[in-house]
Amino acid sequence: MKKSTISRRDFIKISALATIPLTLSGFPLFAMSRSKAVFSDGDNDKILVLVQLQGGNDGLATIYHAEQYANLQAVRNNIIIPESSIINFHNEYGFHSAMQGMKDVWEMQCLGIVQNVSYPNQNRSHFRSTDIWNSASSAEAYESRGWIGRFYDLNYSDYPNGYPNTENPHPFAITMGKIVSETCQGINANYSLALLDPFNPGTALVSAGGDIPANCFGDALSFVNDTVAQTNAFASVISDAANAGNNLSTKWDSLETELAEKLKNVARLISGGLQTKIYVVQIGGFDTHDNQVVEGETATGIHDELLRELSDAICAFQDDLNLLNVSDRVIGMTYSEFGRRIRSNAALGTDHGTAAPLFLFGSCVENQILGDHPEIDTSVGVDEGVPMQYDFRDIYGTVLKNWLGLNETEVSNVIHPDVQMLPLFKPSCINCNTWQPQISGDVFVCANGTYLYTAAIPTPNSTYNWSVTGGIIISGQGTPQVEVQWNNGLAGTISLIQTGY
Amino acid sequence: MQPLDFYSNPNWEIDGINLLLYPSCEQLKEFKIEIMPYLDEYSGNWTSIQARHLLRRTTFGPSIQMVNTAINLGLNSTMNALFTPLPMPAPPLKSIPDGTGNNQLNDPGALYGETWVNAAPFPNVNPPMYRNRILRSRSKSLYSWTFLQMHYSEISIREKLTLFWHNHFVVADSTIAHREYLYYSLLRSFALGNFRELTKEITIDTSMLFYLSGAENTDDAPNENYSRELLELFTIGKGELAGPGDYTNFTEDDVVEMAKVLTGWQVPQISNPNTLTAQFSNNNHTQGDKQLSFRFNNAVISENGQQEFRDLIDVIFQQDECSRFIMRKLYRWFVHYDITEEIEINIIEPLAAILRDNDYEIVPALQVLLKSEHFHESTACMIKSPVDLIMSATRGLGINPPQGEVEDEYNHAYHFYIMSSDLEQALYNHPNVAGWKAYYQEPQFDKLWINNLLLPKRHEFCRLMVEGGNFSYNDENYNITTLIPVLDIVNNIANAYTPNVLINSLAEMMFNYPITVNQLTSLKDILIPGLPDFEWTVEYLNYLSNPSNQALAVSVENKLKNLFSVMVRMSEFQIM
Repeated sequence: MKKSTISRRDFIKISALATIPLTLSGFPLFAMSRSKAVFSDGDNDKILVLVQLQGGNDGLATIYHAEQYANLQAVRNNIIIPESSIINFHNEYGFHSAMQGMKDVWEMQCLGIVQNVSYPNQNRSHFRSTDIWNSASSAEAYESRGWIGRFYDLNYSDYPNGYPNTENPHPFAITMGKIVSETCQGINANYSLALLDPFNPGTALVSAGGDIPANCFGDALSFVNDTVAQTNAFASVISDAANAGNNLSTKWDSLETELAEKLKNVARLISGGLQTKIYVVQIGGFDTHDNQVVEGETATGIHDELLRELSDAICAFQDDLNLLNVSDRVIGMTYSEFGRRIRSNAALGTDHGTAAPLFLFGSCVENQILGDHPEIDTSVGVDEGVPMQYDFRDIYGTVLKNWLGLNETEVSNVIHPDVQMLPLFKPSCINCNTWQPQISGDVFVCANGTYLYTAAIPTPNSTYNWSVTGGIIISGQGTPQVEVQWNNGLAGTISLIQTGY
Repeated sequence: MQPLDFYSNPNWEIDGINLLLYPSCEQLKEFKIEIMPYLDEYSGNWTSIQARHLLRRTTFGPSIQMVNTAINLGLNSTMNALFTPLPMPAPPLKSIPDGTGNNQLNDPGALYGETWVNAAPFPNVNPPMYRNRILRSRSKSLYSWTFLQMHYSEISIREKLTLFWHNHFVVADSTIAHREYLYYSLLRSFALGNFRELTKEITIDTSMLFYLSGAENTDDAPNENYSRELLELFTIGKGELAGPGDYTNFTEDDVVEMAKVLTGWQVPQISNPNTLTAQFSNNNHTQGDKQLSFRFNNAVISENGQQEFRDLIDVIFQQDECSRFIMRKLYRWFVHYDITEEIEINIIEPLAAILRDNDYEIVPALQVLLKSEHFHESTACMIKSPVDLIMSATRGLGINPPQGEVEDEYNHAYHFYIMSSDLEQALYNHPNVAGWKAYYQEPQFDKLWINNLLLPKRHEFCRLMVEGGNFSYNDENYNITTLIPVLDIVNNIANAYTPNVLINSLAEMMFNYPITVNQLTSLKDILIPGLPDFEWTVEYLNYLSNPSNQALAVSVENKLKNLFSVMVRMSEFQIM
């Protein structure tokens, strides 16, 4: 909840200096900072950061709904966190107690939650299901390319031959780790570099090349040779960006986790001008078959630590992007191969399940909870997971179209022909960090005149509490727009308290 | 391999091997069909090239002496040597000197130079921080010792197979060295043994019971972590999705029922003297029959207490798919990642039949594979795993562990453990239960060992073996001082005074295939920049006739180091 107050006094002084009576109609008190169009047809400068939660995150222990708590407690009595520790963030919805960071992102109006994400015929193998999420295939199909790889194959399928070049001097994708992500596997090569230390990406000795025979030895040899060439070619643009870039958020200071370190480096590289569009960061350990929580202290333990690492790092990242003034070019998205069973097991853990919530974050992401909170049946079978409501490929397709700028034909080539677009983005981006209720309306007013004032950033679930001095509210209290009649005094103020969603 | 114009000779048959049938002659015109020699015994030349290929794939970084021995032995005797059962190695030793100073440690279970494996697995010392130091020092000793076994096992396939099983029956994250030691020893003792029986033993290995939650699997709350991986990763594999919860080879219901079979196994508390042996608790075991699906012919596993899991594994192994599943994995480990339909039909299927005919003893099938025309005539194009790279740059080029002080010997090997971890092949610490991605992740497979981050590290490791120096990992610094003895290696090359002979001989030693004239020229320019060949001849012969002249030796050695330092970083050295 944030409060915005503007004072008429200053403006009246100015107008007095101008010796003009308060008769001019004014200008918006705040010009909304408009980002470049999200749905640009031209050169798209948007960046997508994929956060992979490896092992299958327990969505039911991530987001809670008050109405379901009692039932959930009945089926996972040994692991559920105390109701009092849940962080309420919207109506009946709450986060796990470790997720204050995520709540902060919600309060910034920069968090999109999609409930119950999965795909038909959930495969409960880590490896197969991870392949499915990485490749965006159906459960029945085998696709060796990743979905980001297919995105790049649309225009750059000759990669890696002849890259980098003048048109594409920067890496297409970067995995913050030692091994490149399969999401970026293209037809000829993986579009992603692997990166640990942006200041020191590493270089390789170039040695005289031999003949490349047309067999698997030639294939392996040219792969190594190409890797040498690209390692060296991309090393300098990466370290240049690291040196030119910056981190401004103080939230990093208290974080020492691996995920925080990776996202911090991503923010630095983006602010340093690296044109890489896709970053992949990974956090492992979500396969909590046992000891997901500490017995008797269920708000502590492995899952608590993981969710804390995740939400603290995302919060700091979002804060940093805002301070670095790049937030309207970046969104993030989490994904995990499956959710977990509704019933817990006796080992204080949960087994492989089905659907789970997925997070999107960024100043252009619609702050919302899309979908329903799972209803828990206390007689649910031991094998049951949370049923699917949203197919992850619809989220991918929407991101490709509305964020990365593909047209529908291209989306259908990359994902499949029947992608259902979802309302994931704001009509225009805001600055998450400094989000305040903002009022638009006239500041130059006539005595006893009646004027309209509007909440500049209305949100579907906000509540509005207006207050006025030096005048009265004629109508609209509790709505995004009020009608105010000013007195004939020298000063007046109008204030708005607008809650989050 | 003779290319054959199939179209001109459509009824070609060779040795009774069926050619693959193509649907139309239109397509055939496009192809030159290669007659692939498959599992017939290799009868071609036996030279250093074949010997190196066999030893690179079945051991780690074969030494020059091993290659020479194998050349003299011939294929059959080399194969016999590879498969000769060896006694279990002497156990790992305490490798940190006793005392309380820096780089010293007192372990109540063992003195410096003695083995700690007979001591209590959880030393009763205080404070706990000191106990943790002891536990870590034992694990460190074990990891070093594991690399030492790779080095000392000479012409034996056992260590490579043990690592194969480690990557198959993955256990990671243990903090108790005794468990890790017993686990790895189990793999080693079954390395050339029976796949089905190993599966039984590993099921109740205490580290496995912890790693895949078997120790938490009770009647009250069955935990299917192990039963799922038992099917998907350890025995039969996951087929295509044939229907809801049906993965062709097994169903979700099988996972659930098998978890019940496996209920009741527990690991005694760490302070209990029996903590290293799993115990069966009938109270926690789900009683009664367990019904498997039609994928297992609706088999029923009858109540059989602590023997029940053995009954289950016998039932799983009645499915022929188990034999194909493991043969594909062995093929990828020893030959090549790409299992085409042709390989499936002509290699995997017949080998799987041999495996079944031998009751899941793996040696006969493996011997057929490693003696086959296919193995010896296929192109050598495997990207070296980190362990293979490390061993080829050390044992393969004359580096031996320092003898004398246990501490030095173990520290030497520990460097290689650290290096392989840094290169993403951490022994005893796999990223997950599926093992290293290079052995399963399509489409890249072994190319995953190399990328823009890992390749510079691989280069740097190889350079350090030539030039020496420091490297750091996880904020610890390590110093490499035992270096490739470049002079010794070159002194054993006949006519090394001729630069072309020298370089081509080294290339043959290090690479799979001869280098080109251009590469030779470039390497010569590294050895003797801007000078004519005879300058090397003069300098080297001068050194040979005055071997005790330190100045001459150093100058020749420096030239050779420059050469080696480049050659071990050539792309060709990354491949075996």
